[in-house]
Amino acid sequence: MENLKKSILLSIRNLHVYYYTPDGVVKAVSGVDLDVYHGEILALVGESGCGKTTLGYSILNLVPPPGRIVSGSIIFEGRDLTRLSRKELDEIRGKEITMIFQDPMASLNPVFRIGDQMIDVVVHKLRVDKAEARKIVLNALKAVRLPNPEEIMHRYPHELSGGMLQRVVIAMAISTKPKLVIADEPTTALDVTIQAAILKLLVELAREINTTVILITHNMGVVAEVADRVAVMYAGHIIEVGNVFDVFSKPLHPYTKGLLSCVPRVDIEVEALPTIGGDVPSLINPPPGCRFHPRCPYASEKCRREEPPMIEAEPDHFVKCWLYAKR
Amino acid sequence: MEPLVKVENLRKYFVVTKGVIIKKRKVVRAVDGVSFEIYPGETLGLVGESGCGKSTTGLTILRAYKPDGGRILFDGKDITYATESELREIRKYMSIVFQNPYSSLNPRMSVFDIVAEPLRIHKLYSTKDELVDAVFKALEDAGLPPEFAYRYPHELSGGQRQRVAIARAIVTKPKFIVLDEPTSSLDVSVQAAVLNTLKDLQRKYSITYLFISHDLSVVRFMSHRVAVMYAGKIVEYANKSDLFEKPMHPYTKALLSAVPVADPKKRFRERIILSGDPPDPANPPPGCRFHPRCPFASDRCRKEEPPMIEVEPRHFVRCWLYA
Amino acid sequence: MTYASAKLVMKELSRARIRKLKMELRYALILLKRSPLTLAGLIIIGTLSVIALICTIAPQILPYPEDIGSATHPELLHCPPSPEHPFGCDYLGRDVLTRVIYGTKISLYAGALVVLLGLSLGTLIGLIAGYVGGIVDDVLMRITDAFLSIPGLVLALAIAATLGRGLMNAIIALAVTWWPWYARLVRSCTLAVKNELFVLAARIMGARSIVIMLKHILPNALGPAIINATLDLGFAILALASLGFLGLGATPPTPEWGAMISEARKYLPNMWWEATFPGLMIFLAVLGFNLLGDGLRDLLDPKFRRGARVWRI
Repeated sequence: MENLKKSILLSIRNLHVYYYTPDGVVKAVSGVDLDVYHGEILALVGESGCGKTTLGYSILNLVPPPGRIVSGSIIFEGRDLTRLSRKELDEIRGKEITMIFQDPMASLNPVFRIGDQMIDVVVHKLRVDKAEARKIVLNALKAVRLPNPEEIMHRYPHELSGGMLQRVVIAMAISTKPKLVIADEPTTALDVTIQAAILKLLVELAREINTTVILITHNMGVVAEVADRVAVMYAGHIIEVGNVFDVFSKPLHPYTKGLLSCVPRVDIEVEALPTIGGDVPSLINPPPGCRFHPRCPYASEKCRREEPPMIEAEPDHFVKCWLYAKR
Repeated sequence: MEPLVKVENLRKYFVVTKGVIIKKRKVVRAVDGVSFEIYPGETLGLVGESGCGKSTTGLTILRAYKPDGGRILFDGKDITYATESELREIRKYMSIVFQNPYSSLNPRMSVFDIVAEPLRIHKLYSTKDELVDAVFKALEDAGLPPEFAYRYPHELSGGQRQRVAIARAIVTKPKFIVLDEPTSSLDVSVQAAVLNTLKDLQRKYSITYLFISHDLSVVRFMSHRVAVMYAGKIVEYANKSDLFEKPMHPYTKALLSAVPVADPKKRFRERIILSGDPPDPANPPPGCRFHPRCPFASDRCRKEEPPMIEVEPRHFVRCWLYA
Repeated sequence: MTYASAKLVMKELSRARIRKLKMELRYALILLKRSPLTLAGLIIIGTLSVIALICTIAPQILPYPEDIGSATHPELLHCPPSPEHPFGCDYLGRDVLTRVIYGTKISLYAGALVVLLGLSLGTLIGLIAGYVGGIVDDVLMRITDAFLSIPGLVLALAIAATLGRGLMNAIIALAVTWWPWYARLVRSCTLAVKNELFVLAARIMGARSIVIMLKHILPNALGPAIINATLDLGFAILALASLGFLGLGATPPTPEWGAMISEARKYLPNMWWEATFPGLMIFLAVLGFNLLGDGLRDLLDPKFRRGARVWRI
């Protein structure tokens, strides 16, 4: 696997996404570069307000107003998604790239039967006839291990539990055999026992149909359980990217180190938790230089003035920190 | 040592009506025979998934609800059916921190007034200076700088709001605080700091906590003893080390193995993945309430409800496997 | 150990309160700038209020102060608009401009009193019904429904007719028909606020019900009712004018707009100025309060706040 040359599916370059709010311009994503490889599960992790959701949404140009993609490019199979017309984007949305939201009801219409709305989507996106679409939907529902898929198709969303609904939504997301699935906190609203089952399912399905997954989450545990690679975000920047084993066993960025050590662990006994001092900076007036410098124990004069570049500190392990600059 | 809080066979039912035209009355047995003790200065972790009745248990102990059965002893006093005026005297010794800091603070009150409220209710000061001192001391203990007294909730971040709620909870120097998922809505870096503060406060003032959470990692960090709740009942109750090192109930085992661990090397560990959903509390299955999801369910589990069994000293399990 | 002197803290607290108020005001100004209609409403109501105030303090500065009452000027009977009498004169030769201006004071005060009485009673009933719940809620709400089931103006007419003619009686009659709306609104807001955790927290702290109601629920439940009251001020003025027109409101020499139109009705359409100008004033006042009320709703009620949303970043 490591020897094979990885091919890039999605390539984000110098992306800036701003929200024009009455209080000022919120620079939610500012200058993000990211490559997503074929068939991998990439976790986008960070605390609330770090820009991870905005980044995920901007791939399909779904940033809600007053937010806007200001500059940068998102190349998906040779096409720049930021420059596509509405119609062209519609061709990709829901077919080649699909989304799974935290709240399953965001993707389901409460007044239609589950089967009917799923069939509608498949008919519309794959341009097949109803009977064919029915088969596809049934298979998708079987694939997400729902008991009695036939019966589920006749149910209304409110008749199912949260865990079952999230399975339905996953079935919906994979029914068109997409190349990329963007999952935004898909298990955050669920109980741990259900969460474990859903995550397992998501990974298995992604491998089965060879789909790439971008998993947006705040939970380091979830990342460690399922991701191949991880991109850590802080205040609108990606500050560390690497293989999940590398990042967790040897985090480079001081923020990643802090983030990993301050989570209580169910498998380890600790007396006091290490903390990261200070607060997340405002994205209207982010600090100059490195955005983490006000909270960083290693901050130097350079960090306060100049924004660090992405540095490949170790093979395929990138970090945005002056500590790793070649002298 | 006498327990500070003793709960015996506590029950709390809610009547819900369903349906638009034909109203169906259903009884939801949110808390259905829960017993435990909390000793002075310790933390009892009450862990379970949403809808298992853990929050209702906490609120009923504080007598925010009238219990439907059982007994609540606080500091040796039976408060199960105490009237509101009888309770008022006791209320200054107990308080609560809620999960949602956005709803738990009155948006029209300054932080000072919010923290001062319990003191004003119980008239626990003789001069204004005393009141001011107590409020600022509580803010300091909760980890907030004094200038925050003059702010309003909308000016604060989630973590800061939660610290205001903590200051309000400790300002009367209570013996007992119910912490109802106090950090579930916070970011991990903020959560760590808040949890440390809560632990420090316990040490400093020997406060007794009932720590309610769905997050086993947080419970492990905070608690001395742990009770695991499932569908209105406690299924396992033990010292922390026993419960985490040697879980016995199949549900506890599944819960422990389901928690995501922030270490990718452990991702290939053996895990128990449960199928199905927790039961509808208005219509729980007969016998053991966990049997429809239990990999070890026998015929007996389907018919008879298991009792609490003391498998090892002070390690209780509600499961036929240990009978 | 002392942290700060109580005096200093209290001073800081009131300063914080003012800071919060200022911030809200600044926010209001920003929204006002974006909504020219609200601004127009504010200007209309502001002007009318200033006029009402001047009429209270110094009625003598009106062009013909004696015309407020029942003065007669035979030489000016039905005199059409002229430079001396820009709005003309009425059937007793009184200056219509003077009377219309003085009528502003009467209508504004009377309208405000109607709304204030209705709001107070409605708030009391709604708050108790919503907070106590159960049978109390059922009884109070059925009474409210009973009032709502009779058309407002018919009920007001009946009450005004029973009480007899007079401005105060008209005010009472209208307030009686007005309160149920506020009661329902305050009740529903109370029910919403009652579920907030700070109310539960106060109960667990041991706060008494009356304190919870007044300190925690009322301030957070009153907003929508106040917005509605602003909207209603216009309608109250209209309703008062209607009663005046039907002869159940202010008694003749009083220059109440409705009564003026009623008196001038006989001389339409030839002496159009006598009825038109009071009518225009009613129109202006109702329009002003409506624009202002709509703007206030946008301002205070997050549900109606245009363009505002929770950012997900």
